[in-house]
Amino acid sequence: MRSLITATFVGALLGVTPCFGGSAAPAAVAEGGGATELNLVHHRPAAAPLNATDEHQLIVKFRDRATAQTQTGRVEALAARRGFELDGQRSVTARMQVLQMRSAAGETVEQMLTRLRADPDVEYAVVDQRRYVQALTPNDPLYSGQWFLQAVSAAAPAAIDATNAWSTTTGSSSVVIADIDTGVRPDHPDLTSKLVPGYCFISDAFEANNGTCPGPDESDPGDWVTSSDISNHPNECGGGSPGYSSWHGTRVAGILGAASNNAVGVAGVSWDAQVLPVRALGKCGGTDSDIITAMLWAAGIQVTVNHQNLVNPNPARIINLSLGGSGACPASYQDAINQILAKGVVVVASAGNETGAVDVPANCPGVIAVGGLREDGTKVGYSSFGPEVTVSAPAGNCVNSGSQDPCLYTVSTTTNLGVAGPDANDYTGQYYCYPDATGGPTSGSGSYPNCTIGAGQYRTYNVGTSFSAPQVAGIAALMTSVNANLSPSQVAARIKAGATAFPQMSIDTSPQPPACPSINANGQCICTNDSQTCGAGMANAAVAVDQALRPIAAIALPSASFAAGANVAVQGGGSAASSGAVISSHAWTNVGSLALAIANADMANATVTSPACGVGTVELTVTDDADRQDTADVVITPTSASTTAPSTAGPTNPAPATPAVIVAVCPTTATFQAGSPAQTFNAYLANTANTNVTWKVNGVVGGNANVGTVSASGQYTPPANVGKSTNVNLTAVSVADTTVSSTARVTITPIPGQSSGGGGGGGGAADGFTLIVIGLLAALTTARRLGDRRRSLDRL
Amino acid sequence: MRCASRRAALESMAVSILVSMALAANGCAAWADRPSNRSVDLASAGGCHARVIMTFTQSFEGTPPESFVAEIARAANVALAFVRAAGPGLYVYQLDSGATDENCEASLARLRGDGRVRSVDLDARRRVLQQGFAAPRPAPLLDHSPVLEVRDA
Repeated sequence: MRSLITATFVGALLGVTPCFGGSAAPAAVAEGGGATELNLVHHRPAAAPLNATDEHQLIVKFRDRATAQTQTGRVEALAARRGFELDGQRSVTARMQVLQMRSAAGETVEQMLTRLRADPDVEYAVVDQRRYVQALTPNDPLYSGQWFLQAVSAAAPAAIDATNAWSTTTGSSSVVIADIDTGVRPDHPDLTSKLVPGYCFISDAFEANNGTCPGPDESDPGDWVTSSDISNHPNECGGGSPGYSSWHGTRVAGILGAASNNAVGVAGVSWDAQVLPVRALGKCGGTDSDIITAMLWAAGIQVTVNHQNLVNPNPARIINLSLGGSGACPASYQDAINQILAKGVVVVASAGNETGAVDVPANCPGVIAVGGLREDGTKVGYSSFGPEVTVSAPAGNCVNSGSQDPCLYTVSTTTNLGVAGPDANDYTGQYYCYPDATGGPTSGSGSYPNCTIGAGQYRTYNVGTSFSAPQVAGIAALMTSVNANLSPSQVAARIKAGATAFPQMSIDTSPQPPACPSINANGQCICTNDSQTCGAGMANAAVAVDQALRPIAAIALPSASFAAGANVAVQGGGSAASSGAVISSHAWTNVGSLALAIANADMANATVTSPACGVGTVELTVTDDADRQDTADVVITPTSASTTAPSTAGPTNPAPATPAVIVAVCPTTATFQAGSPAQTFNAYLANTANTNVTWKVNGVVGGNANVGTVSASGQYTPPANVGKSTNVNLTAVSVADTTVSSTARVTITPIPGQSSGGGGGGGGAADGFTLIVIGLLAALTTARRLGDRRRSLDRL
Repeated sequence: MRCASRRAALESMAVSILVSMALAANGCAAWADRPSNRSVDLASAGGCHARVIMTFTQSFEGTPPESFVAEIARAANVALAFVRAAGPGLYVYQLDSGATDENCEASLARLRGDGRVRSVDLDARRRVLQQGFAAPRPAPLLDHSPVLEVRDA
């Protein structure tokens, strides 16, 4: 590819670092005519070091007359004519090339460019300058109060840094996020342009509260509850308390994707995603069956309502569920969630506000469960927690010292001010303002001078894990907008990979809260960085988007079973880069301790020779044209191959089920004379990070004098003598999964002249017999590269 | 026209005020305290009366045949009445059984023991996860003191 053209370099050298030479960019516009804007903002680091020996990267556009030559030919001709050392690196268009121009001495970049521009074949030549993105700050007037969207700071380390993510992407209108909730106020000025037609799936007329459900009406009529509601509807509201309308779906919608940078109200996490409002909750909540139907419809799966088949014309890529209840994940939810994941739809749910076990449906496998954080990254007291949590995000906390103090860390969003039916559309605030006994605004009383509500209205601050989940759903929308091939499990994995470690102290709580799962009197605790309490870390939109931009490594295995020593085809051609990028290289390497022969290791499709004994792991690394990478492994035994990677990249192409633990003992057979020295057997493991095994002889841990003994490291010592030739089984049992083991067959022959008849046979050498035992899967909780490990290697 | 509009607005405000007063008189803004998982019919205490979501080991075009479900119900000594399909392979039934199973656990256990039933769950209630506020003092309403444990927990 690289054609280095050597010519005589003439001229003086001046030490200008061209990457940041500001004068060339205007020249591109002035002279190039067709040059495109590359990025948002120029950034010129101060005092850039001067380096007189650097190569200078240029963009050169040739005139029509030069196109008769090959690209290489015209660069060679240009170099020869002008006396440059040029490297024709790559073409941008038929007439535009990126060239490396090498300095020798004395000439400035501008002088070189002047000479280049004087060439009759050159239409223009400019320095290929480095550009830098700049954090985008939306002009929405309430954005300054949306601390949770802003860059991470010392004062608010839990902020998700959507600001810097927006420098890369503000989302895509082709990505739809379902807001399965109480419906929305469709006339809210910060939402109305962002909504696609939804549906109401509430099957209970009292709960629906407007007579239009089920039906194509996603508007929220209010879900206020009166004391008579509670007494008259004990099945729906029994045990509850009266309350104002929550406008909950409207609040969630604003976080997901309020119209942003429009100089109105608030910003949403995904500026360009569309929001699909689906009503499944009303007065006193909603039922599982209605929620499940809503989820399936939102995902584009046909459902039947009142004998009518319904298919959503705007299927969601992401479903947000800011709802829940206690209990184990019901099979009905899991069934629905599995159908939805198979459609490539990401499901995000709030962990719950129980200060205890994670709610349904967040605790269902496959769901991205989002816990709640205080601004300082500690678990907010009310948030549920546990190993089911995927990641955590700000849920709102107030740090109030008095009843009239503002709630400092509310999750500001869209709402309505009606106490019952809809009133004015507006935004949540920092104060809890509600009508006084006469129905007038509390601000009139002077007790709450900061309340700005009218008669009969109310406004609250906004807290709850209901509002941490839509931040992560919005992040997922940003991610899928830059890499549409991400599957739900890949979105989850990359959100986790992009999460920031939890801080191990609180900046504003004294005394320091305990480490979770212990909690202080407020339920607060320090999240642990072991994924057992608050997930993998604090969600970070900017890093998650960077993770999404990485390519996706995919591996197809045309033959999953074969004979030992066979050439096994491993195919990486199904890998894919993110939007606008291309895969530039494939590389297959051994990453296990057992090296396998690899042919065509730098091609998309390679061939690996399966081992005679043991287990090897080969890793595919795919690199895109921006040097971003992804990896995937293939585990190869003598007779089988398996991978956790999808065969091709795509949202509906799930990775194979987490593979079983593999143990393979080498050698698989051996013959020893009684009384001979110890020999070490090796146990190779794959698909588990726990490489420990328990060695047994004929089922006895460590063996005994009659059958021989085996050490913890696999050193087998035959018995001192045997009466006749004897077979024993030497077994390695996986500690990670005790149902998985591998056995070598060992023959012990008597010492010559001391046998009690029969026996005999040679001694010492291992035969070619291979036994691989592949057991059932243990519960593996981490999906990361799991190379084979050799438990013990050294022969005594 | 204008008068009618104004009257409607006033009526709306009046309704709003009445509702707010009714709510306030009962201790307002406590939606977070709503119950969850309530799916057993309290009004019919004394037996198991609940909506359930069922899946079957066998797949069906449309809804499961009545005779198929009736046989399962008979074997479990319960009554199952089809309500609707919640989605592909997911069916909502009204479950009723004898007077000694108020929380439906025994009935559900019998149904789960039937090899034709893949799963059966109560059609539980869920709620929004907006963190609520401690119920304010009934009077005076303006003397509302949010509870720190809730607000800053």
